[in-house]
Amino acid sequence: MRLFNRFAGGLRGLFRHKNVERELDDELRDFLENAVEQKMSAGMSHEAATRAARAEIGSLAAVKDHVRDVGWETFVESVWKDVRFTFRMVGRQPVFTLAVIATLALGIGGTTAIFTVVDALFLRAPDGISDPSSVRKVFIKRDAGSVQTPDGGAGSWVDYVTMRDHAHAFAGVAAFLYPEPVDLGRGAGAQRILSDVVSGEFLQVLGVRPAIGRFFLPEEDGVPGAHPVAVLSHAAWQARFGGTADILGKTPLINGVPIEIIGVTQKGFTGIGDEDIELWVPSAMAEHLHIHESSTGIDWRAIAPMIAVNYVVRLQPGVRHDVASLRAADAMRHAAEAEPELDPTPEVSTTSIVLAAMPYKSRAADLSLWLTVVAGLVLLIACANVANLLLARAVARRRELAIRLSLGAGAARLMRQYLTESLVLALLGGAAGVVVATWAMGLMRQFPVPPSAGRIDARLLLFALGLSIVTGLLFGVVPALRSVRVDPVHALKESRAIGALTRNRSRHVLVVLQISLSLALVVGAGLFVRSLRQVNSIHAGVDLNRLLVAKADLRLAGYTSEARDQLYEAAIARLATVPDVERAASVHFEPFYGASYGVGWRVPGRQVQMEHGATLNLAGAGYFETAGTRLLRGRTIQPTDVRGTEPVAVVDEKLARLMADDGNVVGFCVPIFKQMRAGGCTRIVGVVETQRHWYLEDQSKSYPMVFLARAQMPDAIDFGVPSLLIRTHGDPAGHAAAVRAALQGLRSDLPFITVRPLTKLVERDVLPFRLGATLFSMFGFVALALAAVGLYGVLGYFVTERTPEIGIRRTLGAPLHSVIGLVVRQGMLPVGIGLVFGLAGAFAGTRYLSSLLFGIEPRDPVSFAGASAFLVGVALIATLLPAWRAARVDPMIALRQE
Amino acid sequence: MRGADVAPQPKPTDVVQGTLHMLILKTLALEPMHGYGIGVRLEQISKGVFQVNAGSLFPALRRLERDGLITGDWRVTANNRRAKYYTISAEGRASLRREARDWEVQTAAIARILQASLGEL
Repeated sequence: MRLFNRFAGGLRGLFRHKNVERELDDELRDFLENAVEQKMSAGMSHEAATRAARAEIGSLAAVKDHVRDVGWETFVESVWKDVRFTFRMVGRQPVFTLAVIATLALGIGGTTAIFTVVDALFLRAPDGISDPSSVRKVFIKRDAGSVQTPDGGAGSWVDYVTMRDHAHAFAGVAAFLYPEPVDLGRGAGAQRILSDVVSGEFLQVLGVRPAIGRFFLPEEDGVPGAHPVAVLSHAAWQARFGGTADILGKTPLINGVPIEIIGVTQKGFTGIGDEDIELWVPSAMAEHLHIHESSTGIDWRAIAPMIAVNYVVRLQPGVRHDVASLRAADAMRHAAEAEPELDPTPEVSTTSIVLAAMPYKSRAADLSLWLTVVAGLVLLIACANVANLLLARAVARRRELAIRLSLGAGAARLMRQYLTESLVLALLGGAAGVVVATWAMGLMRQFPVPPSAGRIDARLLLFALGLSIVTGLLFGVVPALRSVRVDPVHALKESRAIGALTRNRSRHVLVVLQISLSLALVVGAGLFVRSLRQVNSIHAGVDLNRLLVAKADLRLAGYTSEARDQLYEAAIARLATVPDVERAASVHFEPFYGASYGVGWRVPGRQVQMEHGATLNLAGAGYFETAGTRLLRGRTIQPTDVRGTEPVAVVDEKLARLMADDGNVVGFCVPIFKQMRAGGCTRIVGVVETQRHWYLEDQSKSYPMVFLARAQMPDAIDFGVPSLLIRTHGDPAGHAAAVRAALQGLRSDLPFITVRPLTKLVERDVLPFRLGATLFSMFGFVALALAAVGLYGVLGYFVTERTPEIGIRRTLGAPLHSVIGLVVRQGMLPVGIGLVFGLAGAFAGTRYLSSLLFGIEPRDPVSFAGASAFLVGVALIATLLPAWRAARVDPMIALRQE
Repeated sequence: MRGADVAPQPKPTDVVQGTLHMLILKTLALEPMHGYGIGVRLEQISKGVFQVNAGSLFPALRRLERDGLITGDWRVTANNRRAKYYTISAEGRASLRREARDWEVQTAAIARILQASLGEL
């Protein structure tokens, strides 16, 4: 009842506001009159009685305030009033408001965009998994035996079976392989989609639901090849099959084999890795679909170390994950007894299902954490800027404040109004920030960010909202606290006279903070930009920037090696007619292929120690000319090097130096392969510069290589399918489509031909540097721009405030340069202090960056000096503008202002 | 949360914290009265010990009214002025009885403590 009364009374207060207020006024007037009357009857004059009564009551406004505060509605009402007041202010000062909102939008937008990446990597379980907290990834660490994974990586299919059958702490165990692209359809209309080979219960263990149809039955993952079935992702169903229900039972060609689609996963599920999977295939079909083949004829799943397998488990309810890991390790140890060549005591660990949960550190994950810090710093700078603007405005509003204070407004009430203003501004900035974030996320999608990053959803909006509120409090509190410390009497008396200068120390502190933070960021940007430069200037032994690689799995179409070679000749001839194609050649392992084939290497009369042997490659005629690999000695492989002529080889410089100290090995005859047993040798006809073929940035990982003439190689050895390397005029990416069309048009039965620039293959290596350089630069410039604006604002205010003083100085004959010097000194002091702090901070901080840099020291003097010079330059511009304004002060006008 | 008993500066002559409501209810239990009258009556009865200023009185009245313990209505006074008269409600009387009883129990206890001597222990 009492609650209801309060509520009803509050509503009356809210909606019959005027009535309630008038009643209160009447009541207080009555009170006053009564008091006056009583005092008069005690013998006072009317005047004296009135004065005494008023003094007794005190401020009527204050009394009314206290009465109003009794009800809850006043709180609502005053907040509403504050909000309305804020919007009035906002409307009246459009430039100020825009400046604040734009500043906040940059800070909040950048942070929000980066947050989506961190969220996708570290916080969010992949979509579509039910109860993700009980799902764990499993890693098996083996330190001994024939297969070692000291980092704690993947295991084998045998491990999966062991865990499934013996580790009872898990409610479910499923296995999945690394994703593999497969052909969907054939011929010109063929498409390339990403598939994943999984154990039969994979989707059930994750708790994914089918959108239509069903998932695999146990027997469908049994006998190899017996059940040609697959499950499609919702996205692939929509995009490639029109999203119609009759997809079930259809049998599209996958790598040339008809496969029945039995189900579609629920919307949003795209696997648990950072790539979008479109098709799931049971492990029993992997060989049938040419995804994983074993040449031995034994089911690949039965051979322990055959193919790397990853695991995901669901914990039994109530079982802790560390306990489950120990039990699984026990089971594995037990099973290891049957596999004498494996580590007898493997360790098992589990991690949560989030993307970044890996047993080893990834550069991308590291980088995203760094970028979060950077984005946070930019936001901090933005806050400092806004706080600065608010402080400047607070000074301008001193009189307003003083009046309010002297009329009896409480300090708490004023604080609240100030904070309301800050929050309204922050929320407006946050809303604009979401727009900036969308734009920034579009930019980020150029990089392979996880699929769930960069989506605008409730999570992101909630984050932006929370961030806005925190931001609002952050930049609002200092100005609010400072403003209520105003002494009303002092403020009201104050004019803009000389000597009444407000101290703006906090504003200078903010500028120092901004300068030092932005300097640290610009130094970071410099380090990344210079790393990227170094990476880009690596001479890889091939002309990276003008090459396309074309690949197709011709085995799928049943080509014999003879027919295949004819096809390659036809393809090279055809490519000669494509505009902007300079030349083309075939090669088995193009640079950065990602695998290599080692062979034993023996040089007659010389003991050559090579840990991994030599890496064998098969090159067609014209390969080195096409790749842009320089010939150092002798000749390259020519069209005349065919079957029946003397077998020839070209070695790279690394191998040549191992064979002879001067590297001059032309003319040597070396037994290779079968020649080692059957006799004979291969003549070395040339030496070429060393190509990098594992990691772009790591020369030491490239093993010495020998190139044999492809046309001379016996068919018996199958190295897979050669690629075509195509040299174009200008940017290769622009010609990829034309090249693909020309090749695909050669025959109608060709599988999908992938054509991509060679740079795509090194993207993985260059990416962290590119990402770091781009985002650090972006944030660095934003930070610097904000700091410059902040500095400009402070100095602009300084000049305005000192205009009369400057006028007097000028009248008294102060020279122009002394006036300019006054402003410049005022501006460059915080810059200097900020510079010192910023350099110290960067000096201490960049050493943690060293693993992300390439070819330069984390304390690279060029980056430090360059960033400092750049910052000082920008700061000087921001200082000179107000200084120039000060110089143009007309003494007469300035003095008249007083 | 904020109101009569916390906001104004506490003076020695202010009513004991938390008792203002009870005293107003008691005053109104004798006869309906307007705001000024309540203040005067309190001062008279307490022989000038308690002075209630407007900044405490009116918020207290607003709160009691909101809680339904008193009702206010506008009447014409003896000297032909409009004034808001407060009347205690049934609920208010119940509340007053409760609070008065509690108060007596407490003051009695406090008095006993203050008069205690060693021999009684």
